[in-house]
Amino acid sequence: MIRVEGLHKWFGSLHVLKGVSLSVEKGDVLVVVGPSGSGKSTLLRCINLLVTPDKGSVFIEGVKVNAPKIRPEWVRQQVGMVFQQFNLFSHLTALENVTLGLRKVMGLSREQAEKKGKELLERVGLGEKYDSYPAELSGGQQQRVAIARAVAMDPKAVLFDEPTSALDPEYIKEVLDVITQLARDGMTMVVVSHEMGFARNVAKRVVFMDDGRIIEEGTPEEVLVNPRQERTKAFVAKVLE
Amino acid sequence: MESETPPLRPRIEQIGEKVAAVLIIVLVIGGLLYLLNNSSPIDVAYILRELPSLLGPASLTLLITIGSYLVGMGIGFFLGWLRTLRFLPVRALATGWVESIRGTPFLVQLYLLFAIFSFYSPGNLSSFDRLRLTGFLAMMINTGAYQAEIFRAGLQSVPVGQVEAAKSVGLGYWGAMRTVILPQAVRVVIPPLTNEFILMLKASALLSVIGVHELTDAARVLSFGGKFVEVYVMVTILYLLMTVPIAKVVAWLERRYRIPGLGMQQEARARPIGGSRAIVQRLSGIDVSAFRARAANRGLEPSRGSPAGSWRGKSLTWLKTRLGMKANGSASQLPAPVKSNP
Repeated sequence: MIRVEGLHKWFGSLHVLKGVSLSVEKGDVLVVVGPSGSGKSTLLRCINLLVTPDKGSVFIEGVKVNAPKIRPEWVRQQVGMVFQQFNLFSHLTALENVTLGLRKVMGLSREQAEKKGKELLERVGLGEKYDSYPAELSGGQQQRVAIARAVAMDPKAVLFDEPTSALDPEYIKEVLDVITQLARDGMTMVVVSHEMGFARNVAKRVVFMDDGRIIEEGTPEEVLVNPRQERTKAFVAKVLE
Repeated sequence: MESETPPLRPRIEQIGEKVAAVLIIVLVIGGLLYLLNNSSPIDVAYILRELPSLLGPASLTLLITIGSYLVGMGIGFFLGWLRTLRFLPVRALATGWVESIRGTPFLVQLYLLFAIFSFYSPGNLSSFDRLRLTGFLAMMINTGAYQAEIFRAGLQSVPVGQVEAAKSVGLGYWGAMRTVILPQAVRVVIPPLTNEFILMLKASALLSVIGVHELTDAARVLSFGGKFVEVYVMVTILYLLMTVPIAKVVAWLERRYRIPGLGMQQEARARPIGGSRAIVQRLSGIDVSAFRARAANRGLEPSRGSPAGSWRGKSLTWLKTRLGMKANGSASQLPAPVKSNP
């Protein structure tokens, strides 16, 4: 489904990704953990080409997407993204946020788009909030709208960039519940997250990244409970304490 | 979820501001009239008689300003957009242009253009039209540069995350521009654009120096009749009649199309007690609403605001229906005044 091979990225002289390779099968949930600055976010952004990789390849369903003849807009339609800071369009209501892509990119009529948008908001538990502006919603509600917005485009996979780390603790669960439900429904996902409980319950595989490299990869059990590498052990111990 | 409201300014500060403003205006105007009335009183009849003769020039002022402002808006948007681009040569060119216009006096720009056009007359224009064209172009160029700065700031005020989110739903550069960046930028640029319009309207008075017969020039000519004070009182009033409503209308539009969390925030949302009552209460320490309640008990409830029957109430209702508002729409949104029970 998603395959990354030998990915490198430099920001100026800063070598952020130093040859990252991984693959995610259809319907799988891959959780990426690692200290801040380890290149997790950049990896996600390389997959949907918000950041252009300098070296290496990103394949989506076998198609190399960081190629000159591929339009990045097309790639981003295939792979939805949920941001740490939600990034809801602040001039649009919750429903308009969800339907913008449907109408302007997929060309649905307003009626069709709104029908679908309301269904999606219903699914994330915000059916009655469709007319609210982002500033009128809590962090947790905003992030749920953002998830509905990403899912609305019927993407082949969704990328989550630390979806709960900007949230007040009281709202983390409602967002994780929505993501978990989405995983149960069979959505392919790559999640950068430090929620160990979530990683253990939902992830099919876990990847530990440090300093632009993948240090360890395996089932949640292998990486988070019985890590082999020293760096992973140190990180897990720190996060769990 | 409640939307967050900015903290209210201390009420004493709000009230003090209004009281001070009223005092200043009353003192200045009162003082002026007093001084003039002693030696040579203001000739009100003259003002009323001559005012219509200034309406034509005033409309020329308005026309040139609106025209140059709108064309300048196109230029300004384009230049401002260029200044947000990554490609350095284009950005540098736009920046250089904007800086050289902003860094020179408008009067000098006007004279320069006037000089150029007196040597190279474009087309077969009469000298009358040529002057107007010169003034129009000078204002257009000037406001274009200033509006470029406004649009640049507006475009750059849209957070990167908004653009990334737009891209991540599959929109391209122009799609993101049209559906996300512009709608958000517009709400940021409206107040400075209004300000710029008012500045240009006033700057148009400078066109009188090259002989464009706009309001100030007409006033200058009229004042040769000897009634200097009367003439410039008229001009002052006419300029105010053009500038103040614009500011008011735009402020109203802003309030009406306000989106929570974006652009101008309402400063004062709920005021426990309203305007004049608050002032009296603050200054005197007397609870006015207590009097009010007592008066009500005796069946003497004074009319509050503008009841529908009064002239002001009627005209307000008429205005609101013309503007497509519910007749009592805005009034019913106001918080109910706090009644205190003595």
